[in-house]
Amino acid sequence: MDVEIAKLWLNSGSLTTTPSQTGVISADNMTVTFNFDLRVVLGETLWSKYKYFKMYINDTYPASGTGMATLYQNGLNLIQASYQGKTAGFQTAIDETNISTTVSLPRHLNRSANTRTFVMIKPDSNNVQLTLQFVYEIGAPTTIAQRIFFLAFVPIDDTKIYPSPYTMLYQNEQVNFTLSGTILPSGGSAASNQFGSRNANFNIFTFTNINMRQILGSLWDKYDKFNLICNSIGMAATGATFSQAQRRMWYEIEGLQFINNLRVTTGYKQGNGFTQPFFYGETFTNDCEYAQAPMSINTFRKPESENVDLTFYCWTANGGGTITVVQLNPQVFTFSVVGVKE
Amino acid sequence: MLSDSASLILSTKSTINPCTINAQKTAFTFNNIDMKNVMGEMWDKYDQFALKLVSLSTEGAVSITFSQQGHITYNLRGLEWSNVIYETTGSNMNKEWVPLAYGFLSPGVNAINPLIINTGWSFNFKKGNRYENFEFALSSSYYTNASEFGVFTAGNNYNNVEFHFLFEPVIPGKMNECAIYGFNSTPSTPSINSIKRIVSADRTEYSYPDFNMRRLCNLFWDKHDDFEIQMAMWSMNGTGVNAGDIRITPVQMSGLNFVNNGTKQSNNTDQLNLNTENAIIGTIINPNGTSAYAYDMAYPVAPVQFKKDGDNVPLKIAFRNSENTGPTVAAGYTSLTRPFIQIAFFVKPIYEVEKATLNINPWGLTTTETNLGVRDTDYITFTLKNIDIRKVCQSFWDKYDRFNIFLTQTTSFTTASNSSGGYRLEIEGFDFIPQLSLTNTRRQNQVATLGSVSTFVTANEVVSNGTMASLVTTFYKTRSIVDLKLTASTLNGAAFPAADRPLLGNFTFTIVGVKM
Repeated sequence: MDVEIAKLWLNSGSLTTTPSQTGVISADNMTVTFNFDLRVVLGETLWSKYKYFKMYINDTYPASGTGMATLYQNGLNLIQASYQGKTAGFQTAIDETNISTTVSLPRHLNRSANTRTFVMIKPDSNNVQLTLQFVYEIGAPTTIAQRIFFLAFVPIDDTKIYPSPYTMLYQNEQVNFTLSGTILPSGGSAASNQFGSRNANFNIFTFTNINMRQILGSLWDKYDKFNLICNSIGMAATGATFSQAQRRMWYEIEGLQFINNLRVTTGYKQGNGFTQPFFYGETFTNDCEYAQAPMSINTFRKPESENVDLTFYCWTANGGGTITVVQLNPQVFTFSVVGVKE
Repeated sequence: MLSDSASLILSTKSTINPCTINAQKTAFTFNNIDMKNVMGEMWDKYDQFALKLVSLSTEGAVSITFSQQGHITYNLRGLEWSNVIYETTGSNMNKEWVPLAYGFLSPGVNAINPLIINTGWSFNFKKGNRYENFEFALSSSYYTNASEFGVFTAGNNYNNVEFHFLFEPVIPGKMNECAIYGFNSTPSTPSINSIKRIVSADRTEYSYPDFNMRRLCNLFWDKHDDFEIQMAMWSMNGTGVNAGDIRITPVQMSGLNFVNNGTKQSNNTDQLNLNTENAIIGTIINPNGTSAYAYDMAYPVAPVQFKKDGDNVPLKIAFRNSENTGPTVAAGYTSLTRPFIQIAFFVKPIYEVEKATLNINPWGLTTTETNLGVRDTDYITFTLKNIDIRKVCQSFWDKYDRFNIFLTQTTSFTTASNSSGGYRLEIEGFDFIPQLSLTNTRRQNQVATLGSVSTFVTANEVVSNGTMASLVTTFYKTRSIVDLKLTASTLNGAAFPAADRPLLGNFTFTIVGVKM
């Protein structure tokens, strides 16, 4: 909870079968390659200070395809990932599942609570060409839905023992705060008030003048970096019609000086945090989901100004990763903040 | 590297190093897995390891002769397991097998892809031969001992399955030491009657007069004084036709020295009585009919702490009623052939994080204030009075000046409405750290917001959730007796629908000291 982390967001929907600066995707979406600078992702502190990282991977997990498939990666130096007992070769198997079947998600949890974990050795070169490929156990490729991949990197100091990452009750000094869209203007139109603003569809909204010094309390003077942990997301009922892909959401957050992150879409973007995925259950119902570290964490520097404006952009898996166009209603975010120990 | 891990994917469908598998796909073996190859340098550095299941999924046609044959467990042997008592083997001395996962397969539901939330539970094994055979065998709840693992009658045919495992080192005194106790309630033929226990006539209580904790926690029992027990996965065949709150079945454990525990188990309005000896480890939801099945491996509730007393303890597991005032009254428990319940409890030493557990509910409260407390008409808010939080946290109260309080388990009762699918929960009564909650236009809110709580959407449905400790705030040690008040708010800021009762339920809090 108190370790600086890095995050990477890879939108396959931004790629085409023609190679571009950011990557390329096969016509059947089974194979996707992203180009990025890992030094940018990890940030200077993590890049220069650590040799080993725990890499966590998760995706939006649309149900499509025809059965059991293995997800291979090539590009990150992941060690000790064996398929059928064999040593990892040119490609490393990092996941296997029946991709035609939706994971049985309870209403309150999503797959970010079960990320795949690997040890990564920092590569010599910072430029990475990461290929993610689904391969059926038996049978020919089929066209599958585009996926959005989320990666998190947690540094490992090879002189320390870390408790299991799945230990969930933490003793860190923390503060917590809640941002609820209910204080923003209601109705179906874009509007603003003294607490912030929202667009007509309530999928982009800003909370203004949040006093981070007041929120952080005694942490403000003790640390220079902090982890913002999105503990839970609640969504008020909406009557909009959703496709499966549109139900799979996550939030880009702008307004704090988020470090160690990269978004690869049609280009590269740094500086904004992003939450764990949130899968909206059913039309006309409220929904709440709980989060699990590290996908719920974003590291940020102490703001230069005590007051910040936080803007939330609601993305969905639709089209391989786009800001949603579906009409939403107020959303509620509860965060913890802990100081990052240097 | 000290924080090593290794990943291994095994699939019965793969043509790479294919497994040997029988025609019914009930028994299959991946031969000669090179453990040094899988583990890397970990293999040479450590003597014990932890195996954790990341995922499983299945594919292909399934045929079963009757529904209970589809109510299965995936068992594994081949590694030298330590710290195991697995009743389904028919003996509490059999350490050959462990239950990896539960499932339910049928011709209509043959592709399962359950979410598995691994909050620290694992299967420990000792380093053995470099080349190991991973031998899997299915068992159904109709079969109940190791001699029948993988042996099914003709007509029962299962499908391909993949497992994704994570290996980590076990470092004694520091990380990953874990024991599994696989409970099995199976009552009759074919039987596991050799298990030494006394089952009550109504089959709601299972007493073990001298449960051998030292044997269960073989490799780490002597090295520690504080332990925790966690309910991580369960599987159940419906006991009878049950609907509504009667399906809610808290799982109570007693006999261990639960030092930091307060469980409300009475609706007495004279005062709040918190029981220390009986802890609610988790809650199972009874399926609504005898041919209905349920299993859950995404139940991340917090463990409950206990102190070592003696090696043999009078362990008792009791299935309680929804309000936790007596045994369950769900139909079918008294049958000679039911219930079929399997629960995997995991026991771990506590390395440093001592924890307290507070299990409460609004039962017994009315809109007229009593010594117990008070609630409003629609269970939107309730207050329980005079909770001795110092006693609940007794083993570590004096060590800290502030505490993190997590809401770690919620159980939602039936409402005619759908309880809105979720609500925002606030808590009062403690002296919290400064709170800023942008939930109302005042911006200042002296109560603490724990977060958004998930319930359910189907009318008259019940659910019990583990929250992964995602609902948390911090309070100062300024008072030892508190009146704890919970208040629900809608997510859209409007009033609750008339038929909604958001706080109609049970709540478990877990408290830890804050290291400054």
